[in-house]
Amino acid sequence: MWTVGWGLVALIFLAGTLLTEVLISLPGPPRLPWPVGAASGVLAAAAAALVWKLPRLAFGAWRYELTDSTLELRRGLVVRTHSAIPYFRVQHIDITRSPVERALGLSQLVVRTAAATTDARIPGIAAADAEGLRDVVLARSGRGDAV
Amino acid sequence: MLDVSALGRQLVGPGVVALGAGGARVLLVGVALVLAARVLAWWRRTYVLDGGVLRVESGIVVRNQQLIPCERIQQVNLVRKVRHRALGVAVLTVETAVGGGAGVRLEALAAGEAERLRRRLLAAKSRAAGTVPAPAAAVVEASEPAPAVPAEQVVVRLNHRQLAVAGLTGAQLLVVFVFAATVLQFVDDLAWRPLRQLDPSALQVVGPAFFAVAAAGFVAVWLGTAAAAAIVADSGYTLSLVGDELHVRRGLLDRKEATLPLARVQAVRVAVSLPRRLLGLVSVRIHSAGGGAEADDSQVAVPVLPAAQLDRVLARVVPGIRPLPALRRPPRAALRRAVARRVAPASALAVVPALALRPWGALALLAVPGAALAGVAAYRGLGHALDEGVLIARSGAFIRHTVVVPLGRAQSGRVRSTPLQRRAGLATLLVDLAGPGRPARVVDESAATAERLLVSVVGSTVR
Repeated sequence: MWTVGWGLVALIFLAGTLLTEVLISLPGPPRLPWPVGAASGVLAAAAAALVWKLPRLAFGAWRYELTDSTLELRRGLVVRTHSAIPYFRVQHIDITRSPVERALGLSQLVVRTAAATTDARIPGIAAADAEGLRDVVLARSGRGDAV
Repeated sequence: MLDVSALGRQLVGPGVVALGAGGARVLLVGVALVLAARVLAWWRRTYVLDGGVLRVESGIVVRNQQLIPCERIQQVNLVRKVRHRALGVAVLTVETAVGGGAGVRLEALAAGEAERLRRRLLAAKSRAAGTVPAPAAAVVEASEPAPAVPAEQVVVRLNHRQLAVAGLTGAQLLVVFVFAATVLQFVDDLAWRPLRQLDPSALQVVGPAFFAVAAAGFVAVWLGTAAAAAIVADSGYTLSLVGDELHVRRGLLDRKEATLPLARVQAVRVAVSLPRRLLGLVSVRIHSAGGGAEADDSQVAVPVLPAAQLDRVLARVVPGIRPLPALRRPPRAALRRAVARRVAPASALAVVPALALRPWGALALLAVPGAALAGVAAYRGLGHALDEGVLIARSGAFIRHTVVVPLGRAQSGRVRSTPLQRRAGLATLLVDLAGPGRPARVVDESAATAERLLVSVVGSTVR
């Protein structure tokens, strides 16, 4: 059993993306009567609190684990998902890096099986560790016809 | 062996252009160009089966070489549409597990050659898989005669009456709507306009009797067309076992044959609609990891089957399976979820017309008890069982879908729960399968059971 979590890095990553999104969606400077302005101020504060809190919670809910025979992912605050992918079903692994991820020195690992519906991506892995993790999973996937 | 067959379609484009340009000479040049391109493409497309690898080279300018190791073959299909049959040719498609319809499509093979190539491909596949010992000469020469064909055991054969029933209870009923819409559009364009200019009083002369007869006639034509469509598509339907391969032959005008090695069966889906349930009929679909490009051609499916024969057919298709056990119902909480899941949106939608369009808008509120009934039906449709290496999952309110997944075939699995499900202690298990199609689902089972199933589904996959 080998449980790993990357606290700070994913936190920064998630917070960063969420913050930009919220900033974009916020209303401009209010040129409206003061109650509206006050309300939007309260909203902005609430949004800021959420931006601060949500990524921490989301990150706290994210776990991945390499067990003896499967790669297990647990994630989600609202809809919770627990995925299990047997190593020997792994067909290939992609490492993707978006501009934001590159700026933060992170990578995303996308594990693929013969099923198009398999949903196994691990975001927010330190770039230096991503290839190591990929090699570990690939080594365990072994050889043979996985279909 | 020139592929004139697909020519007609390709000529349409230049034909239209030429007509637009308004010159017979342009048309002639266009035809010559397309013809030349087709001949060249055919000329430059070669295939050879060598040492267990199918190699296909194609392309006029850019050469493209495809190598398919025979052990990777999922399914081999042979299609002979009417135009192919007229010319004595066939289209052979070889499907691998690669998604997006990759694989090889060999057009315009002489029918006999296509048949031979299919036998050799499948024989090479069994040899590569180690199920059949290799012959003394290890290298399979391209000119080697097709190996002896093992005896064929028929699993299902359908007659025209059964196919007609399938058409009357199946998707063909909807196809008629599409067809009717097209015809109506056409009629509307051509003949309807003078009809509209008729004096409306003329209709009164005809009277209600005429409309009753017209409606009855329409229904008769509708049902007749649906039945006929099913017969044309699947006439002579035969599902058989040849050695360890499933063969499906069907079609009156377009002959379609699919070959699926038993070892490639990923899952079996059984669908039962409400009318079919009343008649004691089911339909069965057998999934391989291949397919996707032309889903209809490559489908290995039984359009209709008496429910009593289901266990017998399953036993042939999924070796080692026992008769389907009674399925376990999810806990009572799932009933509340199933009802709430349907009643909530129905109420939200019904409230608007009920308030806005008084008094008749209140009729929309009838949708609420309707949704509740649908929820009860959906709950009654739920069930799962884990038995002798297969997971069986059933769901659906009006059309019940039962998925039979050999455990060794699951690619990955997930347990998912929404906040409302968690409050009721429920979760949904999804099992991802190779090939096209949605994951198998065990809906609204207790969270502990779902987790336990996940472990048995992905943990017990035998290497």
